[in-house]
Amino acid sequence: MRDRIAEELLAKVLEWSPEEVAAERPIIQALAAYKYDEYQQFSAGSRFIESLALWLKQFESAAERRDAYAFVRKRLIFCSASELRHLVEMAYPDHIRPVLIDRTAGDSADRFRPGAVARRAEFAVRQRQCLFLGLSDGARIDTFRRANPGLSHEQIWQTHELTPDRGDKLLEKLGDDLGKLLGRDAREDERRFRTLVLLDDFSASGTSYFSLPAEAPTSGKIKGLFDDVCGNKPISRLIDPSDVEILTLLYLATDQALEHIREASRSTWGAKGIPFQADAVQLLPQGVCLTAADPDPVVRLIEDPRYYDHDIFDRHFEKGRTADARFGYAHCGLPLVLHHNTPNNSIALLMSYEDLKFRGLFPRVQRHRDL
Amino acid sequence: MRDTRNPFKLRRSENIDTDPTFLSLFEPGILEVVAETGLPETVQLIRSAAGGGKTSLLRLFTPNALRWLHSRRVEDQDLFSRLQTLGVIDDKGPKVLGVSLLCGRNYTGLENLPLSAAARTRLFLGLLNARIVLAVLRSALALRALEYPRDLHRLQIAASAPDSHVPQNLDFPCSGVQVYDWARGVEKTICDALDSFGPLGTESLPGLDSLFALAVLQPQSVTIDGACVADRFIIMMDDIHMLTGPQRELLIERVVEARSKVGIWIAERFEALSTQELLASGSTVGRDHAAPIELEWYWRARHERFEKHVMRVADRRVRASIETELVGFRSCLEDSLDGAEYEAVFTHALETIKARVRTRIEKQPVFRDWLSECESLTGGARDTAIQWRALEILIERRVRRPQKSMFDSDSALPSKEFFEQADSPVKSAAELFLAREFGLPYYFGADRIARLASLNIEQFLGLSGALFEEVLAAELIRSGSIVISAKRQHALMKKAAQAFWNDIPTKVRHGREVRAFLDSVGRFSAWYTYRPTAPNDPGVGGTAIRMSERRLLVDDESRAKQPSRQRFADLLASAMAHNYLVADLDYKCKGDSWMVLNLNRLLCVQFDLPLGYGLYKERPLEELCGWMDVPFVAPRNEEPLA
Repeated sequence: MRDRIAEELLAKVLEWSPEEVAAERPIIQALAAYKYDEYQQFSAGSRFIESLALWLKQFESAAERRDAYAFVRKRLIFCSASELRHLVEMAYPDHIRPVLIDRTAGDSADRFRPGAVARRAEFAVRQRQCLFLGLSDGARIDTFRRANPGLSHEQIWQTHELTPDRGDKLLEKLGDDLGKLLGRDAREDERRFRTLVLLDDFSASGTSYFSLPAEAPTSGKIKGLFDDVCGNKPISRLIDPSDVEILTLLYLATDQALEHIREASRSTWGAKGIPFQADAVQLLPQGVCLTAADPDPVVRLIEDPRYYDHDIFDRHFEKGRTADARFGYAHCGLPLVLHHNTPNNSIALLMSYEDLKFRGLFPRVQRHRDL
Repeated sequence: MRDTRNPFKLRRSENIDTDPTFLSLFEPGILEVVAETGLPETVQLIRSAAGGGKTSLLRLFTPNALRWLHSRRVEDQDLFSRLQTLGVIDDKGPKVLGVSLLCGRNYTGLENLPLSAAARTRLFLGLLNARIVLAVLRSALALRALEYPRDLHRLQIAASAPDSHVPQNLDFPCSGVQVYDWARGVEKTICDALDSFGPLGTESLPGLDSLFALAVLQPQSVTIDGACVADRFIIMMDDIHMLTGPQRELLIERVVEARSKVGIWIAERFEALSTQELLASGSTVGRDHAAPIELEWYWRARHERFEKHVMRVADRRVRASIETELVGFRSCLEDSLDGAEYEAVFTHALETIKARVRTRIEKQPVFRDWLSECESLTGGARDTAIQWRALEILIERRVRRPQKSMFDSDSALPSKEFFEQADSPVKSAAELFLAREFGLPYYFGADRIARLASLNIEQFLGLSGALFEEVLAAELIRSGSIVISAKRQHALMKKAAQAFWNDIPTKVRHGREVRAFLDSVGRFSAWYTYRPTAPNDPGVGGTAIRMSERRLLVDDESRAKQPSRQRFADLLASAMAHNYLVADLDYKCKGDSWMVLNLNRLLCVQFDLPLGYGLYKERPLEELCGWMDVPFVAPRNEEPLA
């Protein structure tokens, strides 16, 4: 649909006066051009303004449409591809490297002279003894690798599930590089990774890493890794549990997710005396999330049965322990869209599938398929 | 050419990404500023406030723009012929090599290096030389449609004069590749030093004591494939105001000293000038270079031409929009209040004024004939209301005359006298008073919108852009009419004026003080304008000081003697630099010469003032200085002004 026709429809649907069109149109066009048109799940030929017009048309009254439009203008958070890439590029220099410098400096006065610490050979060794593992495809390990040319390719791997061969190879390369850095053969106790950095792109609830309850998770990606470390799996040979630190770093995460990961890490890593940290490059604070108590008029639309199709609620949503998906998985209530897909933690108004009774503004593609 | 919905939003030349788009939007009228005296051949300073049009003017002379224009010389005949008259281009192609050099990058960082002043000067001149060289090389190849830097081997630079102060590691004659390598090396070394956190190795830093590039790079010495590149070179240095004060002074001094045979145009904003320079600007004191072209001063003396110019600019922008088939801007704007919508308002206004006038003069037979003339008026409610309001003003003038003649009688004043006095300025005042009293639109119509530009093209584009957005909106929703109503135009101008006003503290030096002073000027002007007798009809839009008082502000010793004068001088300079005040010098009136300080026309909207230039009420300098600390307060009763 041509943009002009879409804009015409939008103006008609919102019953805008010429003054309102003049005020809003430049903004909507700018938002579409800057970010929203790049959403990868629009159908072919379709773009944001058209999607917005058709989405708003689903609301029955002009007042409801205006409330929905106001939500899009004021509260929607869209993370574009370039923004996500920026977060990936910031991850190591802003969130990991300072930790390594701090660990290298220890309690010495050099703690306040990071430049001097970073020039020390010890830092280079500590940095090399850091292993970066992706927790999913979203970790964008390729981008991370290219953004950090100072890190060795042999200390970055796209998955946390290592084969024995891969584990051996990582250790072998570690030994070789330490030899060069130390100017001598590395000792056996030195051929271990002292920092494990677990990378992923986004989490809203944290439950894909540690299932509920946090005090006693039974599954999840990081729980699985923890079990591997404690068991006899390849990764357990890469580290010494008495001298390793676990850093979980997400490019984009909510307060809720970080809190859950930290709580669950306490009951797993912490219980074994292994230091841990969980952090986000870009935090989505609690305030951005929508709840039933939120005075925003969009909440009435979220709760309105006319604008919700319960067919969206599948067995994956059940794991979030909610009765419906109105406020998204685990009632995270996010107003968030990622350029490649809308998370299921976002409100249903945004992410509802194209083939349902109510079509979302940024229709989601399901990752979890019911066969 | 990228599709543009609202071309008015492309306010700055830098935002127009292609030369074809730039030329399609370029209105040749700006060439008048150089047409009168011909293309400057020596050092030429070009100044304006931000958005005055300097960069657009310079861009026109760049190689790609000229080549594109040459290719379209049939379609763009007007522009082509004007440049042909200036000797810039002919049917064979461009004859001038315009070399654009932006002076905003890196240079100020040199001042922070831990070096002696002499060393920093050498570095500054070294970097400038390198960049001039690179700019000339790039532009020369562009003029011949060659690729830079791949085709530099085809460029040769001839031997230089013995006293050219050429650096030791550069020998002429040489190829473009050699001089390119030299310049890139210098630039890289100096920029690496700027970027470095480590200690500075001063012994390795290249530096120079003169602008040798201006002496070496002459039209006859730069050839491509053995042929001269162009008949004339113009080095165009833009954004000089972004240099530090010492750098700017040094640059101008060295450029003048170089006495180069190439034209050197230096474009800067007024804000780069010192207080003294700014207050002294606009006069024609002799200099070592041609008198600066100061765009606002130029247009101020020709403001009606400027207003026609901006209308043509607007028409081009309308035609460039992909969203409309309109071809003119004027036709989008309602320009009268003759419609039915206002009939009722004028009728009500008329009845109100009639009742008021009758009450005022009911026992005064002296106005009998005047009243009778107005009672017998026929015509539309609007014209009649204006006539009655004019009557009211004239009555007030008569009644409040300070000295009555001893021969005054009560006999009726003749009608002829009424018609003589109810001239155009009084009726204009009447229209303004009606608008204010009865909430009628006043700031509407193409002519007034052009006037609100206050001689600044960027300001005009901002105002007209907002209007055009509504035209496009009306077209989109097919609202029936794409003519913006007078009421809506007025509302948009009011909104723009408020935003303009709100921005002042953050945009300029001494911003809060400037705004406080302008507030006093505005409120004083409003108080004076809206006095019942409408003095200086149709009203004033500023104030004035004597030229002798201006000299006190310009003179160092005088300013030193009185700190308030220094403060006021700085404030005034800041306001003028940013076009908040537009000055007229040597305005002759009442047997004296005046420096008139016109408010920016958009600020007149903030105070409901009329838009004519040159209408003012003078105040002593000391009183204006006092307004910096104690704002003007309108007197409660009608006290005569000194």
